[in-house]
Amino acid sequence: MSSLSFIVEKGEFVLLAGSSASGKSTVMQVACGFIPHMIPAEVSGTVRLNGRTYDDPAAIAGIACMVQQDPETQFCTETVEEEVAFGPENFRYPTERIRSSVDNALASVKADHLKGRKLSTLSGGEKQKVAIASMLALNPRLLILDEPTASLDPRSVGQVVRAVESMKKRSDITVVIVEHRVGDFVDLVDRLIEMENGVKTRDTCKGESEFAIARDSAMTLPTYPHPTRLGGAPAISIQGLSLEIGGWQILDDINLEITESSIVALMGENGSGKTTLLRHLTGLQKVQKGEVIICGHRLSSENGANPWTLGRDVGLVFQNPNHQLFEDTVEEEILFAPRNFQTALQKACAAVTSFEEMERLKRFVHPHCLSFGQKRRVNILSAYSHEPRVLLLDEPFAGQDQGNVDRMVSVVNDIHNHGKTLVIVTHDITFARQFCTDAAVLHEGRVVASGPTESIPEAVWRSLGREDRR
Amino acid sequence: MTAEAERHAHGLNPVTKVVLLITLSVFILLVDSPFTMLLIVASILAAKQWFGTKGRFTKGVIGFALAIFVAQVLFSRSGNELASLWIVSVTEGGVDSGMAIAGKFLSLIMMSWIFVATTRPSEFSSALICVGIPYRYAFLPALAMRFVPIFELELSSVKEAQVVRGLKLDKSVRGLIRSAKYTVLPMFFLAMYKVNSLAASMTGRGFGASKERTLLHPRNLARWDLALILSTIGMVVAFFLVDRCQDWPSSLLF
Repeated sequence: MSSLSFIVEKGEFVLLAGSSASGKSTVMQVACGFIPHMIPAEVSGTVRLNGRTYDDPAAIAGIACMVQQDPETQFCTETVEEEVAFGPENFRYPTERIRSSVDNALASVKADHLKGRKLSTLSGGEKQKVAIASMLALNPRLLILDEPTASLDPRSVGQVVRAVESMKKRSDITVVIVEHRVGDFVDLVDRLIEMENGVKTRDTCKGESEFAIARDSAMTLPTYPHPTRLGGAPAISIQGLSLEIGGWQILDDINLEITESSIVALMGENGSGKTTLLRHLTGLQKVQKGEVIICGHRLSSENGANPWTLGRDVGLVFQNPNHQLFEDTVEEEILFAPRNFQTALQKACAAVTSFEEMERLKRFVHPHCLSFGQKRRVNILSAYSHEPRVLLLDEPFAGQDQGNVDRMVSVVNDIHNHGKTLVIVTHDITFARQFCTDAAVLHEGRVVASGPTESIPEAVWRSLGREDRR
Repeated sequence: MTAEAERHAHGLNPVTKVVLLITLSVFILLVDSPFTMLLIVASILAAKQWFGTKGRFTKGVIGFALAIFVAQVLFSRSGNELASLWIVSVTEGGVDSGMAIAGKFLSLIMMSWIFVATTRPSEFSSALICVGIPYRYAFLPALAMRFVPIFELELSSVKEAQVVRGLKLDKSVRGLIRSAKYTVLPMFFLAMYKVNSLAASMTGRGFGASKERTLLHPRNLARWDLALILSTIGMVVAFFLVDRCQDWPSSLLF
């Protein structure tokens, strides 16, 4: 950040936008005192909250509260009631006041019905609402929401948007929403501040022409390339695949055929069984009932797969980039699989160095020091470097700004041009409709629609959510 | 866990459960008689079944207990010889000591499983605060208990990510070192991320801002808890004294 100045008025709803690593979350961490008191950094200038400066995050607590991206990592109790009561308990509210604070906070985000639930049983959207309520229980003057919709499916995004909408009825709270995807919140806020490379690039209020331009630009759907359907023999054939765990039907009679060199969007709400289906295709999940044939490997309840054998032909990119970075340099990371599978390293190098993206990534940088978007691209390149015939990607675009998504789409397109089959789990309807040759939509473990993307009924697309909500 | 078992398990104060766990662990460590040990293991197994506790790594634990038993039978030579084959001889003392040590191991593990399965982390911290432990420390075991399953899931994802990219690790020392290398790094970064995020969330909600905190659901020790703690400690002390002062009937018991 450099020479950043802005004032947020009491009661204002502000959207702080900008691409990944533009400094928007950092500003808010400074505002809450986490920087430099918990995360060391050199900070010059002043931050005034309610007309005062503070030098301790504990003193700021209760005045400015920040809800972070991933609600799971900020919960420290087990039930909704305990979590929302956590702040008031720390501030030694009397028991009766704690009870009323919990009830009011949950009501503010329309989550009263969740009060008795365990946190582990909540959906992504519900968890985010509880995280917001746990801050509201302290009745803060300033509430900061840091990318509250990252990794949520469109339905859960809608829940969070409605929760923020219901907070607008309160006149005593100022809200700053940090987001790179502006479309979800732009109609709710009074003001839009945009940042790029640590510098404020736009500051405009509702009603101004600049705001309308920014809104229109945010609402414009991105455009993706339209890869040609190459066709071919079936690469993946799934017949009557079902899985039941502890009385829960996770997958229910899945039948799906995926041809070679196609790009398939695997869609559905969180918990609909998409990741479980991918795990079957890699042999990580044993087939309980039904049959899967993938790249000639036949997997059934009698004929289990060896994930190591299957791994030569089927690559998988997991949801969390940090789960799959093992080496000390990007180059070593990319050679990890070819070394393990004992494929020719020269060939592996050639396979990935032909990618324009490889040149952009700093070859000798520690993979864990890369940005989130760069890590995702390293994940894809390193899952592809031994040239599997099928590459599975589990929500590769979650939490990424459009620039990063475009760069990843370019990498994925290059892989497709090498004749590979791709199955991509995504919530991005625009991406699925424009870029993917086929789509399969899951609902509660069942396939509700599948086939070429143009053949998927409009009603099914609509059931997945708003197209601008990804 | 059945509804009745859950009612009984959660009726006990978590501090009571900890004291019982420690006291009974001491008792089990003192027991040497294989007959008594069999009774203890059977009682704990029955309790485990009643509470519906699912033990993780059950196969590994039973395997390890069996290994302890076999090692004792093979290498401990005291008492009458029961059987012999070539250089191997099985003695009465070896079997007794194998049963006692394997029984101790199984009992301690199963009691811990029951404690974890019947204790909610936040209830545990609340109970610790009620007995006077400063809340910053009282929260530590609760946080640890909450994060164990999360880290288990993370670890499983990391292992799976290794498998799909062809990392095949044998059980040799070299294999173990490679496994550690490729597991420690991602787990370290994941743990750091989670710890930072949690610390920011807790500090941001005033954790540590004052010396004390109110509790919405305090878990004070009830008379029943105190009676149970005192009677259990009394029983263990009595058995210990009987064992040290008399030859009979303690020889049957210890």
